[in-house]
Amino acid sequence: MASPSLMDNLFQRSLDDIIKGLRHQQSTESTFISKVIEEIRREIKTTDLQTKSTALQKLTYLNSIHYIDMSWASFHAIECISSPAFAHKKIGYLAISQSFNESTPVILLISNQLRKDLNSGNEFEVFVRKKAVGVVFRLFEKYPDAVRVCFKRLVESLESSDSQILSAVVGVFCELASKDPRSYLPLAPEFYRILVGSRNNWVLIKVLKIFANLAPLEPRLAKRVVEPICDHLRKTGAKSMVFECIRTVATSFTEYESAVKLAAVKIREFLLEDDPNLKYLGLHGLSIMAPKHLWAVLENKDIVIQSLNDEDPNIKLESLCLVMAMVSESNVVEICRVLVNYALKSDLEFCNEILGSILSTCCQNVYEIITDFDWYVSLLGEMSRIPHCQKGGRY
Amino acid sequence: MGIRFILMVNKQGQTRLAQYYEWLTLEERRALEGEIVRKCLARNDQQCSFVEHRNYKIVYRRYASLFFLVGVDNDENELAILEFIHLLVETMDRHFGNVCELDIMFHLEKAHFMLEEMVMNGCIVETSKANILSPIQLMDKTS
Repeated sequence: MASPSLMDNLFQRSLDDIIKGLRHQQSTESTFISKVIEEIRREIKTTDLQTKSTALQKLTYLNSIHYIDMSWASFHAIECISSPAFAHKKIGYLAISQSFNESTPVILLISNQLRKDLNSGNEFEVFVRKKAVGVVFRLFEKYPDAVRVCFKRLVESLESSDSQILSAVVGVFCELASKDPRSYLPLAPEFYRILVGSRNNWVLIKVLKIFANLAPLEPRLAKRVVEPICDHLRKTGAKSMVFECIRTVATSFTEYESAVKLAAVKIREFLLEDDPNLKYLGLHGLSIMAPKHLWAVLENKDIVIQSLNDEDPNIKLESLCLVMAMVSESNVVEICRVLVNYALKSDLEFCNEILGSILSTCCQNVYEIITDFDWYVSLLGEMSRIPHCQKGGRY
Repeated sequence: MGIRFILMVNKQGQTRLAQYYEWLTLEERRALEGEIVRKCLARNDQQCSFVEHRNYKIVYRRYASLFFLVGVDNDENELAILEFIHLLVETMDRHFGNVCELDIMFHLEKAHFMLEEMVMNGCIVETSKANILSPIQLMDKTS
């Protein structure tokens, strides 16, 4: 390919030109894009950083929106970030964040530039420093030993009054605690302080997740923490907080009757809402509670069965799972009757979901819940005659 | 990790913004975006905004002609993510003034910078519109 000429530099098309051009090309988009890529390949080789960064900018756009490979341009991105001009730097850094990965050969070359940029005394410095914490978790994933090195600083950051730093640090601990909860048990007092003091729901949700992992390890901790959690559950105005509290209680505080009862009350409120999101999450909350507190599901039996009819397939599936959780020796006949009726009225997919659930639940533990095999065999016959049934071969 | 990716897609299924927090090849991205967009666009307004896909979840919401789709880990709080999407839209609205699809198309970098202020490595770190927009405004002043 020819090297970039003065013409290329002077008459280089901008990103805006490309976007406008694409909008006018309905049928010949790929030809247009090929031509643009050809231009970019020529332009990007220039030593003029303005031209180079514009070419890189166009390429980044094509990569992100039109799946065009840009891995061949990685060295040019590094050249752009070495420019003293912020406009070129930001194009280079965006290209790098979108396209570099572990196997990019030149990735080591950015560390030098990063170090220079992080130390530079420009007016953006204060924003740059705040970003440091977020990078830490990625480091920890690859180099777990690094946790020990940064630990002290991370813990200090838990006391930060800067909400962005606090959010990032709590996020890091949330991930770490889910992988190795015991190691972070000693930090419980810090998290407790945040649980009772913070007004920031994003941070509180993360802290609740942390306690969901820590509480099962230490009953004395659970005892102290359950009250503030119930407090939040009672007082918060944010539905996301309510749901997280419900989930935390139902997962890790199942022995605390009053907490569980409160969570069940809140779940019922969700179930009675018109908003399908809340209904879905209410059902989901019930399914988390079901293993240890089936009474909560049974209390809401009517809503669960009604939801089998909902027009949202996700809600139908959740309620089907809950119905199956309610099955026992005494009610299996009644429940199967209800379900087969629904199956007859349902579309192909849901009908087979219902039939599949009935079959797998009934044959669990070598047909533990079936007492009347005559009835079961006739049920099997009835199900196989249902028009949509695809389960014939299996049982 | 929390958030795995954020997509903005129009009603025709064309991607307008794609931000990934885990590395995927171009082929994987194309396939993923195709599958998810098909699933979400097939749903109507009366259905809930959460869809399960493979071993994670998609939380999505439509604003005018654009769908905002966020792929999250299974233990992520769906309602909080819906609030995050709303915050993102409000932030872009404040900056662009009545934001529309064209604003995002012609100012994709700005949208990326806003997102970068809000989400780091898949974790939501900033939820104050003023704090998100101040570096962007600073950049606008100097360029």
